[in-house]
Amino acid sequence: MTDHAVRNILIVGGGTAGWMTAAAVSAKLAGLPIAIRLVESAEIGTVGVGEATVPHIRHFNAALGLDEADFMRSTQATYKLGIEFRGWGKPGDSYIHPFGAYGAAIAGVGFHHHWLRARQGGDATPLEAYSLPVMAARQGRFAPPSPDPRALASTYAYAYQFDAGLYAAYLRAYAEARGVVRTEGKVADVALRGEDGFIAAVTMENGERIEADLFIDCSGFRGLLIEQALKAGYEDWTRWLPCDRAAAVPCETVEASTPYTRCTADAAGWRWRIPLQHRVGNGYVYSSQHIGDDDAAAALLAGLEGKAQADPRFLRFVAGHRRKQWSKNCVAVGLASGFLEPLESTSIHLIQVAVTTLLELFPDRGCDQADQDEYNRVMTLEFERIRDFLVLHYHANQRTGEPFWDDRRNLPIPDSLAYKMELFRDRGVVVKYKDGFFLEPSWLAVYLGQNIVPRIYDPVSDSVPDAVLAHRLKAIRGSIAETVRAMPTHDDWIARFCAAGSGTPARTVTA
Amino acid sequence: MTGSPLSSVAILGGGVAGWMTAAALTWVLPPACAIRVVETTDAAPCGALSTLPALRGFHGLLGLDEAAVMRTARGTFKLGARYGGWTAPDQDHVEGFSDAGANLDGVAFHHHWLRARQRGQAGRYEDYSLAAVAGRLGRFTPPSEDPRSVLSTLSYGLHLDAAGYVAALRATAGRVQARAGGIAEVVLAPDGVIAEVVLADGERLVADLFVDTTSDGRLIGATPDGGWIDESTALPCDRLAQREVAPRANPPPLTEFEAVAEGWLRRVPLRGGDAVTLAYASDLTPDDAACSVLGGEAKIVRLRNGRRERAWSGNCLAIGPAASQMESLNGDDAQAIQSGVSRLIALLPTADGSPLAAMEYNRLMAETFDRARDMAVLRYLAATRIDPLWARARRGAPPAALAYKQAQFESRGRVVLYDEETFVEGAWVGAFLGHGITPRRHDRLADRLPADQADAALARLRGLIRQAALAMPTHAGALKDRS
Repeated sequence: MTDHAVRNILIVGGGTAGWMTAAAVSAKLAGLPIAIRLVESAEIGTVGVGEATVPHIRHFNAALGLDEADFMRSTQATYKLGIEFRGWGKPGDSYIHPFGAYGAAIAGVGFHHHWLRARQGGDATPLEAYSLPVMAARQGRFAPPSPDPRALASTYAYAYQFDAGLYAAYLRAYAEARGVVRTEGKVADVALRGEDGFIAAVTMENGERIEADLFIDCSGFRGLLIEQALKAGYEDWTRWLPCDRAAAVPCETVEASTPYTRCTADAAGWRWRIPLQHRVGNGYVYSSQHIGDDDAAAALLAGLEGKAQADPRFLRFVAGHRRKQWSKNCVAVGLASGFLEPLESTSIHLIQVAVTTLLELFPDRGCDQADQDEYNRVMTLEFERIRDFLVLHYHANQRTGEPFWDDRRNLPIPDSLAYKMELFRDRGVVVKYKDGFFLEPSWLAVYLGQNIVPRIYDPVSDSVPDAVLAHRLKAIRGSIAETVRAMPTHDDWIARFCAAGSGTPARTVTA
Repeated sequence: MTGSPLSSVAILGGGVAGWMTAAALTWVLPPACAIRVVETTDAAPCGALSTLPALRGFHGLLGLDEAAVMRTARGTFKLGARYGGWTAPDQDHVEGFSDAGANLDGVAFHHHWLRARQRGQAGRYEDYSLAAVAGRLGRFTPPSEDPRSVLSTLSYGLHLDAAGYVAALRATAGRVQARAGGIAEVVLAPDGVIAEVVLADGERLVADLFVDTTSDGRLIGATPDGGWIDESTALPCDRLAQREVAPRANPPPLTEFEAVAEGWLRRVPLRGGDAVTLAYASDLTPDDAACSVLGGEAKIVRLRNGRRERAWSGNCLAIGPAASQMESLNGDDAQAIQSGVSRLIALLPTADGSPLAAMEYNRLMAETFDRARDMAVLRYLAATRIDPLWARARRGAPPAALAYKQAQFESRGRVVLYDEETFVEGAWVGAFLGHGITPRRHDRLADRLPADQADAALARLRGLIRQAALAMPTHAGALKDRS
């Protein structure tokens, strides 16, 4: 060990980002002489919009050693097999982006090529008939994947829909049990070192001065340390992702909870619906250029399935990311690092990637420029690849006559996305990169779900005789339908495995 | 499908590139599609191939029986490569085909090794790679499929005689029509695609797709996109002298690379003889001097390090030396061909051409070449020899991607992997450390493991690996079993 080792870390800001960071850092650094503190103020509300997650959260929880049932009970969690997109291609369309592949390769050729071939031959079966998680989601069923890699039921993953505020509280208890010291209060001042511009300390409103070797900025959009003190700069992506506001409101549950999140296209953006055990989270992400706050709130309330439990809360943001998410001895995590609308539930995922990458590159007190460069390279790539995937949803629409949607279809898109779309349109090729969160099945779900159909399919598909292909397709459909029939309903599974305990309203369990 | 399928493919050149392409295409193209190979003398196979384990996957897809291939191509097993004289005249290291060590406490092994090394408790990094240890001991056994066995960490490549390998590929490509011939003229249509290829005897070849597997890119070079990106500054050798010498009683299952004043010497064990190659620069070493380094008559082959800007242009796609050439310093012979063939199949064009598929192919192949080139360039940059050729190689600035990768490794042992890497993380770690590039610090998380526990775990691992290697049959014995 060197003399330059980090001895203490200060996390500024609680919320989902702050407590996920505190939990992961305290778990991974256990055994090393490093003190971890977190300052937060109960007066500053947390955003907690990101209530839906992607399957990677399960690795995060597993690395912490969390008990799944306990975690789910404590956070009012439900299961998530994918996201339903309503009205994103044409009004009235619906597709589900699942956490799992469609079918399986035949003769070394990707399944979707065979599906395209069958479709050209007149077979009208929708692609989703070949996705186990979509078929289960459509029927409101859930069971955990099989551990047997040969089983069809092993070919999907799942995530959670939970109350982010409760998740933060759960992780707070975890982190505090592992020695993280929490201090209540607001930061009044940030002091920089004269010689190198590193952060020396923060001063709290009560006058306490807290020094640290490494600062983690989880202060939210404003970026108290990374932007206000260190002027990291912001890469603004409004030209591609113009939504800059959201209105959020929870409502009562009135029907069986769905094992998926729903994103419904609306006049000036889209509405989310996230079913939890005790309520349904709702919101409207919109462009303030295209709709006023009052009209947006009215549209949001009009679309609720149950009684609103509060007045809508409004949030403002700018799509993009800090030019340097790590600058000097400060790493920004969560909204302090950038913002991408939660269309694909990536907010919590980006926190997870940030914390994991920080731990992989855990610095000395000097914070080598090499570590900062690599962190910023990795995180920028992550943001850019998610950005392209989000822009695809907006761009590939057929909602003619609606100004917001006409703009999305007609205005330029990032070159990197244009290239991917061209390749897919031409011959169904999904361009692959080593890094980047969304893999081939995700791109297929959105391309095909939003009616982008390739000009040709892979010619090698023709090496499979028609009759053999028809037989294989039928067999896959059949075994998916059979497997789904054997699954319990989502509500049944929750009731059996992880229903939130007493103190929450009893819920009707549908058979 | 709209767009009609390929009805004819003409492969000009032959050799390893031509026949790997032909053999693979017979599997994916419909019987109605004619596949022709015109073998030109310049593309005739010569010398030996030192290949990566990935080639065995290609054989699996083709249904090629490995034992049969090894018989026809005088094959031996390869567990990695030994580099001698690179960091100092009397020093060497082995880069084996099994990742060194094991993750301890969730932290990559090389960080634990770096930490133990500070206390002088680590031994050589290669001592933790079963393939490297067995390779040095001249021993071989196939990997175990039981993940609990230390033998499951092994993988292996093959040493093959190029001419024998072509014979084996040819035997599986039954429907391919082959003939010998010379290329007299490449006739372009007004739009720059190839209209026909006229052979020396007057035959005119027409095809939906022309695959250029000649040694110098006669076809692709004639197209408007056929520009060549030269890499001779970083990779200075432009000649290979090849010779075969008497076999050793028990050759190690390794390709051996020796840094010498003229360039580098490679020794590949084949059944019945060792294929030796000297790579050198013709302006510094005359051909006859190269021959005397090898101790006798040698075949001289020209080498032009670099790649096409676009290996696929219109209806012409170049694979092998026509598309890219690189000093085979990484022991990755046939890898560029394999990835070219696999990507051609994944992006198979229709009869009317597929410009977008070509664009994607060219992007992928350019990235692939550049990342493998970085590995070869690293070996020159890290070398300590000061002879004119070696000094010349270090004159230029390293490619930006390699400079960043090396800086990251030197800082804290981080391995940056870009898109389309041929070599995985473990291979880069083995190359960096083997060539004497050592991180300034290790991952702090490694410090969670108490030092005495870490030392004990490392010592146990070294012992286990050595024991497992000593229990294997000799390479010569394993070859006898296989034949």
